[in-house]
Amino acid sequence: MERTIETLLYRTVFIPEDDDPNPLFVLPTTGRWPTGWTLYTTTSVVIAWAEYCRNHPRDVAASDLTGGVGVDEASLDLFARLELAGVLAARSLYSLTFGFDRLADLTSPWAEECLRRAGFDLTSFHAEPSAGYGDCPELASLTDTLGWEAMRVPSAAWRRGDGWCVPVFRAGRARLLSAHRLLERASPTVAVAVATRYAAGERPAWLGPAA
Amino acid sequence: MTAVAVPGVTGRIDRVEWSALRRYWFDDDPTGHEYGLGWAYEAFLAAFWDLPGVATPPADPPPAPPADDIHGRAAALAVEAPHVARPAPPRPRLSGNLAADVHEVCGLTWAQIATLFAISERAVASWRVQGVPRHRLATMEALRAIGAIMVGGLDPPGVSRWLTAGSPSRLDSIAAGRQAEVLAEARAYLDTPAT
Repeated sequence: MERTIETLLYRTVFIPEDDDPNPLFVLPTTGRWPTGWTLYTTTSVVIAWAEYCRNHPRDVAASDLTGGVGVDEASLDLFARLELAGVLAARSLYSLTFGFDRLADLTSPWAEECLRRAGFDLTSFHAEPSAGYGDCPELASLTDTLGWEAMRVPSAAWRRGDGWCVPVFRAGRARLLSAHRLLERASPTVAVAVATRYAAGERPAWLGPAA
Repeated sequence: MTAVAVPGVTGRIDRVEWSALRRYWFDDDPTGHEYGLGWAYEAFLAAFWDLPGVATPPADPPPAPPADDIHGRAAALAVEAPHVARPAPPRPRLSGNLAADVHEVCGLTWAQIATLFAISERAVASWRVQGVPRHRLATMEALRAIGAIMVGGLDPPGVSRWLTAGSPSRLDSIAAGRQAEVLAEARAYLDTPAT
């Protein structure tokens, strides 16, 4: 099968002091899919923010808008649209359009079967950072040899549908068609923080118990 | 050269190239590295080439579950309102005066800086004119560097909150000589890896 597609992806981006963000900046060998250059993006805005919250649970905890009372069923609607602005840094929101030739889709039942046969433990998609992310880093180390430019994978921060994570690898960088700064400066809402899945033991108490 | 279609992967992967890689991994002198990846190499070859007749299914995300609990409702609300846009605050500028820079960029009061070093507020305030004492330089420079990283996403009062929130706070960590830990937390904001 041969297919070239245009893929619209999202990414929250660090705002430097000079207010000139670099949407392609990456720290090498970080996260679930570490390579020398992995650009973490998502297929939906809400998952981009959820990944951000999952990355900074301490600052989400310190951004408690309820004075320690916490969000519950009764107060969720009131707080849901408020921003987490106290301690969690604002970010720019970018849309990135890629024209991938080799985007590996690992989200379908068929791909899951392939991965299973390859010996990849599917629970690795959600494996804890403390567990070394299961088999994910090893698969990431193969992507260069496999010629994959990017891959579509589940998000550990958001397990309710709505989209995927798309780590883009070095080979995919040249497939970038355009980058647009959608929002100069924004913060996730309380609703995102509540709905986000955090690593074990890291869910801020004021958001209530995990699902 | 035979190109082999790989379901689930857009584009084509060259089987000859794979054979060369296979020889490299398995026929050359062992280095130890190949054993770690061997399972995956063999398995991926088998998995991605030896599934005749299997069509690639569409890759739409699974439907969201019904919003019948707080998490489901929160998720629905989050999709509807994932963020709040904010105007950019005025940008602070570094003056080169270390004490003044820490005060401005980190949003710390002279009293907070004094507490960090367990000295008087008056003594710290005098650093603006007299300069930061040599034995305090490293800590103050680290504070300024950390503040410079964070101030783009947080205005100076936000940087102050970021430094003082929690117990122990990041300022406590700096006071205890663990600037590197706090710097690493600040640098973690530079990227947004999926975790």
